[in-house]
Amino acid sequence: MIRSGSFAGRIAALLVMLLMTLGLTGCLSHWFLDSSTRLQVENRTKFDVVSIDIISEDHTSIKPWIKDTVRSGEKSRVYEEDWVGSFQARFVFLASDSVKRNVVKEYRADMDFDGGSLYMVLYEDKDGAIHYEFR
Amino acid sequence: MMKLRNTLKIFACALPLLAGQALADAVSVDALASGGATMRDNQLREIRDVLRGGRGGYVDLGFNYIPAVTQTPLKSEYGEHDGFAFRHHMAGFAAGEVKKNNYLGFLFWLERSGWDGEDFLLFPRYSDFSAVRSVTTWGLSYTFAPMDLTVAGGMQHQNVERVGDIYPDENDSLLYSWAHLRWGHTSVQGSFHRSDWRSLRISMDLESRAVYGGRSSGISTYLPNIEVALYNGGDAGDSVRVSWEQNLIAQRLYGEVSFDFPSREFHSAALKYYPDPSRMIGFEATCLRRNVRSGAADLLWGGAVDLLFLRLAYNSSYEYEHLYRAKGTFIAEFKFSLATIDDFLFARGAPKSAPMETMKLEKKNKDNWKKDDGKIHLDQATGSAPKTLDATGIRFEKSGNAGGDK
Repeated sequence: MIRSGSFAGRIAALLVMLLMTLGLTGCLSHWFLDSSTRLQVENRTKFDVVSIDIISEDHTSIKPWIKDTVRSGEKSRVYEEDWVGSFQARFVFLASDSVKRNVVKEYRADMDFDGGSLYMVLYEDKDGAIHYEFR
Repeated sequence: MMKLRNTLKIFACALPLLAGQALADAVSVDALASGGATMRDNQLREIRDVLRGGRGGYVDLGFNYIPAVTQTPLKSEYGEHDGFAFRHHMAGFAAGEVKKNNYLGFLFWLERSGWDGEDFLLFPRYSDFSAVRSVTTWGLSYTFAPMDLTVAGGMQHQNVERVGDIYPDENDSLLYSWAHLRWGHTSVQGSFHRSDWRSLRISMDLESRAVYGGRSSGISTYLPNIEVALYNGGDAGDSVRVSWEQNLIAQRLYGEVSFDFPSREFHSAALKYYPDPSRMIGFEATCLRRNVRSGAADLLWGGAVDLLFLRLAYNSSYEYEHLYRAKGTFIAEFKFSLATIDDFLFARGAPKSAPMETMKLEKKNKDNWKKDDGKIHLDQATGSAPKTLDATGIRFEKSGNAGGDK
């Protein structure tokens, strides 16, 4: 088919290589990489989650991600956003203080998102600290 | 076919490995925001090179191949986004002789580059943080060969397909005009937006180049190529970049250095080695001042290997300046680029043609023949009396069945 000996054959081989890589560059990585993250959050804490956002490094800009209020014991809907990489997430909880007034509590966490479907569970440990975990 | 498959396997495995080992730095929002101006300037510089002869033709096709998402992540105010800086370009120039010694040519340059969440060839994903921009330069050229004079001009279109919220606002369609005048070794090039000048490039390509009818060796091939480029910086003030390209050894080893004014600062330097002066294969070591810190800590050292169909670079100044300051990672580019003049082939900017046997022969023969006697010479090298082929007549052979020949 392609004789590697002749000059024309070598040029043809190079052209085939070029065409193949042309094909590869457009689609190959999409077979195993996602360029967006689909996030669903389950709230197993005793607080309501008011919002989950991505916050800029200087804390001046905020992009909302989970736009629902996730009540204690409930799941959010799935929200797909283009966050793939390393970012800081902000969780806003509605908690009650000692005299049962509602107060807003914020938690921040540095997170790596590789894209694809993520199921996040928020829970409290025995000491009352809030943790997250991907399932 | 086996060989080809093995080559492909090696390619597919080696590139991500190389890339993965390197710790890549992110491309910046600033670099992407200024990408349009960089692209426009680069296309005009390439046109300057191609129009050195004003005749012949040129083709160029290329795209960067960056296999891993972590090689060119994007640094925004929110963090580091995985994705791909991309650059796809093609160009073409063809000139024909419309009247004796009068050449008309058409130029077409196209580049699409930016950053996207996915790698692609034609259809980007246009994520929330993408910047996809294209610059098209086209124009007409006229060359009057006896005076070695070229006049060219045309338009430049800069179109934004998408810029995410993290980038500064940008006009989605800008129109520029450009003009180019070359007389011998000197050329002047201007770029304009409406009545406002954007850049002005004065080039003195003093080096004698055999492809354009100059000397192939001697002192005149050691003359420098000087470029003075003025950029309209608006309120920030105008700036000037002076570049000096110098043949060091036999048009195979070149040195390049450039300085910025009015800051009077070193900008970049390069040492380039071309095994053949046709420049189809090249090795370069580069050093670039990044202007992020002061002193020697500011210098970015890198290199690249250019193999006609493939370019591999690490921290090289060309990739840093044209691929959004990508550094700290191996960058591959699949490309093909070839210029031609009087049936000689060479890479853009090269002083001599490719060392192909047929052309060597043609040149040798041209030198040997005092005047063309219209005969086919079979034995030139021995110096004996030339054997000639004379067509004495054409004999038709009859095949078995009559009427078979037409």
